[in-house]
Amino acid sequence: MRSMRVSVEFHGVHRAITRVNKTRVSLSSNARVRDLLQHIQQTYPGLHLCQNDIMISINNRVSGLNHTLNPEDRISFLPHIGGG
Amino acid sequence: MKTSEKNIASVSYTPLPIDRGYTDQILRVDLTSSIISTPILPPQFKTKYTGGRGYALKLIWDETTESTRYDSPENILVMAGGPLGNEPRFPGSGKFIVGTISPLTGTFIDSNVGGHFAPLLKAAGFDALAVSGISRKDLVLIIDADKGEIRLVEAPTFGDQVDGGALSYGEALLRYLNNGTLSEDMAAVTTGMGAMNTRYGILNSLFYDRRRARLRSKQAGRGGTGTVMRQKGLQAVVVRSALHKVGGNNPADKQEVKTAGSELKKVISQVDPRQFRLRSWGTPILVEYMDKYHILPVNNYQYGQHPDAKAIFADVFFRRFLSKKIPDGCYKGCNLACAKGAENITLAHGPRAGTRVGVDGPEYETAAAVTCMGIFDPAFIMEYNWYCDEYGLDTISMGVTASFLMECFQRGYLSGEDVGYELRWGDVQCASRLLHETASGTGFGRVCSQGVRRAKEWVAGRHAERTGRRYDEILSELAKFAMEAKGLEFSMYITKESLAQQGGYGFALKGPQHDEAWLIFIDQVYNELPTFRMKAEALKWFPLIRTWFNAVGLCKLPWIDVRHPEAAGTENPAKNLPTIDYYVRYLNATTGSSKDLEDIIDDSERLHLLQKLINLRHGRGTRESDRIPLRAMGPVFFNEYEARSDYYDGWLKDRLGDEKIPADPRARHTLLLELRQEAYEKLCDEVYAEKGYTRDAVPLLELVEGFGLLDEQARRLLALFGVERRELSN
Repeated sequence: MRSMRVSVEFHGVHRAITRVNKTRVSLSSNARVRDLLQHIQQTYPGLHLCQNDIMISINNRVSGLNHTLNPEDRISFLPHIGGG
Repeated sequence: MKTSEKNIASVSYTPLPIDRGYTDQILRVDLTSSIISTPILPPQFKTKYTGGRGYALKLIWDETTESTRYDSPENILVMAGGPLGNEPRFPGSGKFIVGTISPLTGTFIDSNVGGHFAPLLKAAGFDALAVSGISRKDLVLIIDADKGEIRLVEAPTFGDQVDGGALSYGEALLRYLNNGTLSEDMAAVTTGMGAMNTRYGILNSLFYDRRRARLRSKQAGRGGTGTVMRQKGLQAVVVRSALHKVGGNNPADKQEVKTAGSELKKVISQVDPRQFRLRSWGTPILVEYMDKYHILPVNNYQYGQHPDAKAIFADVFFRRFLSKKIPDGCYKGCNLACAKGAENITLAHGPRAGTRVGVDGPEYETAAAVTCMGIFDPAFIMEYNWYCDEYGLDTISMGVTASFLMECFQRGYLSGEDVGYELRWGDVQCASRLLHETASGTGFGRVCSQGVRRAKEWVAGRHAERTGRRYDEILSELAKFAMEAKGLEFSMYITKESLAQQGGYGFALKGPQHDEAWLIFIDQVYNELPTFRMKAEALKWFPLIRTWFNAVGLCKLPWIDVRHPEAAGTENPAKNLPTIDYYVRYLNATTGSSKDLEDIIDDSERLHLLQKLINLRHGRGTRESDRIPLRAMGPVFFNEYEARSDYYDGWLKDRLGDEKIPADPRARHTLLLELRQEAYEKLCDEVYAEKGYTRDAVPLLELVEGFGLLDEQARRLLALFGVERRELSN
């Protein structure tokens, strides 16, 4: 099966836990967001990537777990921000 | 050296007990006549106006007129908590509202602030303090519940440097009144010399923190409440009572208060460490996310991102400055505790250079205000924070006015001759000089001290004089990037990519402050408001629920920034309704009411309408006053468009299709701005319809009557705008 690479950016709490700003991940070419999450969770067991706590952003657009990823996608995880 | 205080007036009293969150008594002080009174409020007052912002609105509505200015003797400075303040069992219960007629907007302003002041004021027997009149001499008001005495005294003096500083004076005064020591049971409200010399003076709420063993401060920052205080000749208010450990509100159902509070605290302690970490990092955590989504107001809101922004991310402040690594709440019992503190910060510039100080902050707004001037130096942010607090200046209005003037310099509207030096982006020396000149009312600081709206007029006049161009023409050019509406400077979020937040700022009754509606992420990032209809509904609901927090004496952050895990399964997750339920239960358990969320929204809508009526009375209530500068809608200049052309071109393609997009980038820029302005006008129509207003943003008479606000003044006012009773058709 062919593979592709995507970038995962870590911000705030997630950056503090992973201690990296960004990582590159290789996935199979038809991988979905949920596959990526599983991979990230295994790599960084301290991360809490519970769907109730975060939004998943792909190329700065919010996305769901079943979204199919494309090569060079940029993924990040956002807290629910409601402002001050 | 201090001098003994001279008594101007005093009364003896017996503090009334608190019953179900209220004492039903307020303290009134008239500084012209030196009369102190303690009227009892009729029972229907709290039923109709709730507390906090509601009390301030009602007093201002009844006792001031359309000709009342911020410095008129009849203007009232109101400080009011609310029925749900003063309960450590529930998070965020130390808030109060400062309400008055603003020097910036000329209409009602309210600003909320935490600390011990409101709980102590209530414990001293008062639901609110209302100060009117003007004293020729500087005075201090002392409310001493332990002695059963309220005194108005000539302000003691402690030397020029101390007397001009809100923090320094507050500490000297509290020590002076308490045998040289500080106590949790005493709190003060003060402001400094900057409030005397500008239109955006703040009011500091000072309280003693045992864990840091020093006085800490929180600020009522927006709209010039501190300026009003100093114009009245009031230098400080001190209250002494005994802080309640728990149960001080004498609630209707103590057990339910405890249960609702502990359930919310449990959600905070479980969720905050996974989501935002406000407890550790405070609100500067927002810098990183705002930068990522092009929302940070860099260089007067020209660019939303900057490569140097990482130098001021929250973890930098945490590592370099925040000391003791303890959660610093602003009131007992709050386990979100988002306020932060640093010790032994050495000031590098200004009249106190070399001095070591404790800094309370920074908040996101303060850090972002410094980026507005193009500066990404965390040490300067700490210093700017301290000086603004000490001078009594709003960090937002100061930063936005300075950055507007910097852009005027960048674009040639101001010269070095006009300013006396060069106003350059990212120049700490220059920003520092302007800050100190502004606070002291010297040099070019006299222009900066007036806020963006008046500075814009000054620059237009000066430029017209120098170039011979027409004043009106220059003014309209400046208005495009002068970030104010209704006279108030925008708070620190770029709205070029969120129509909903453009409305959140434009329709905000006090002017563009985000505490009425913060919809950027819901709209721009989460895309939960794709239609005009959905935006309009959000622009009605969120300001109403947010107003309620300001009426009851509570902080909004445990609701706003800690998303309940069960919210994800609800129809509208952004409303975070599972958390709102704790608040409804807490309200009913305290006051003995049996309200639901709809009742709360109704109570709040009444206050919102009353504020709208005051705005109409003062010429800030119609559609014209809801207009926002072009920069809030899109890129005013081509450099801004170019910096984000991928997004803007995508936005155009989404709406028009590829074939209608001009090939010339400058033509695309022009078209974009036309469409953005059309969209904002359409949003106005939708929102006014949703709220029950006319197309000119005037509430219909039936709406005002339905909320019991149609008194003779309201009837006359609405008639002036052509709003009268509609005849029923056959």
